[in-house]
Amino acid sequence: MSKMIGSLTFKQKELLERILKLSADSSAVALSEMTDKAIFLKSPEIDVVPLGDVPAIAGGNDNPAVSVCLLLLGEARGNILLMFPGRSAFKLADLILQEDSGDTDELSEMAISVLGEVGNLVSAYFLSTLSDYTGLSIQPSAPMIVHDMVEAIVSSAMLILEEAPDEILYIETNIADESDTIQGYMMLFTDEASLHSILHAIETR
Amino acid sequence: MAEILVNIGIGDFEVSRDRNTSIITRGLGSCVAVCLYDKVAKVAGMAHIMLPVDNGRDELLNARFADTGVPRLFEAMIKNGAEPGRITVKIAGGARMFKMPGGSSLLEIGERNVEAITSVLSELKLKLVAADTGKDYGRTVEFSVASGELMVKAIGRSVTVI
Repeated sequence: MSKMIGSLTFKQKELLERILKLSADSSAVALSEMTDKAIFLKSPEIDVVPLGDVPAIAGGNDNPAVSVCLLLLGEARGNILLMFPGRSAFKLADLILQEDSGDTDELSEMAISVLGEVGNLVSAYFLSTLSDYTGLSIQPSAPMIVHDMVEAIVSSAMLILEEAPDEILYIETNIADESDTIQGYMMLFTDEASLHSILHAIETR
Repeated sequence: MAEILVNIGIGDFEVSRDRNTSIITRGLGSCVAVCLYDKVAKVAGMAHIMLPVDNGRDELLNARFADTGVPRLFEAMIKNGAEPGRITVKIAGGARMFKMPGGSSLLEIGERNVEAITSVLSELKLKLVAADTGKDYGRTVEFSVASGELMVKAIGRSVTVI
């Protein structure tokens, strides 16, 4: 039953937060090494939200953003979405490539490849930490990069789930550099069956 | 120009008879806006459909699913004075936002939405007169009650009216 998700127990929430914190810290270190700048992943927030509320939570509307989406493969279904509003993705790619993309509206091949690597890195740290805690084997797919409207991206990523649940476990963290010119969010969507197996595995471990 | 914009969110629907109104929904990706119009009675309605098939737990009686949402929009049109035989339909959205080498059927939700909507429309004997669907980009749409025109906007593309 979907209502079970709403009553995420204190223990479940605490363990999920610990997994996220650990993987966020590892991702931040790796991203900092990649960019040679201090990159932070701010303390992740976990919430259970009704499906219809998700696009608005993520900033919503039809402003442009660049996102990196990776499907979960293996013992869970869902996806990980990194979302960089406005020009944040361009700035992040510039930082890593040590160049200046100027005012261009198109992502270069190199920028797309670099952002894909960022997606690989963040999802690999998260999923391996999750595996450590749950024993579940979950791998990320190849990264998919999209430059489009925020709400079109978020709603479509959410609806990749084969069976749309009423509520979604929604995880959000801020990716930012020291001057705060880069803003990014990470979201994780899972379907109900996968969420059940993850929570069950966490509790019985 | 419409003076009043009525914004509908994901999974919602709205019917209006106010000629100064346009119904708008922003950031359609794989979702589809289904727009019904009776040009004689000047009744317009829009539904923001998310998925093809109702999971049976939808207690809100909204328009999340094609198979239940489109009939709900149709009934609301009739209640507001539209004649079934006069209603025409325009749809927009249903993009494939994410692409992967080798593909994955999970990424085809936009296509499946459009198929489900087309089949519900034919069951309801409603005539589809225009569509701007598929492809790989998001859309914002604005539906004028006065004219029945559907304006489609996308990032980096010129505005089209269908």
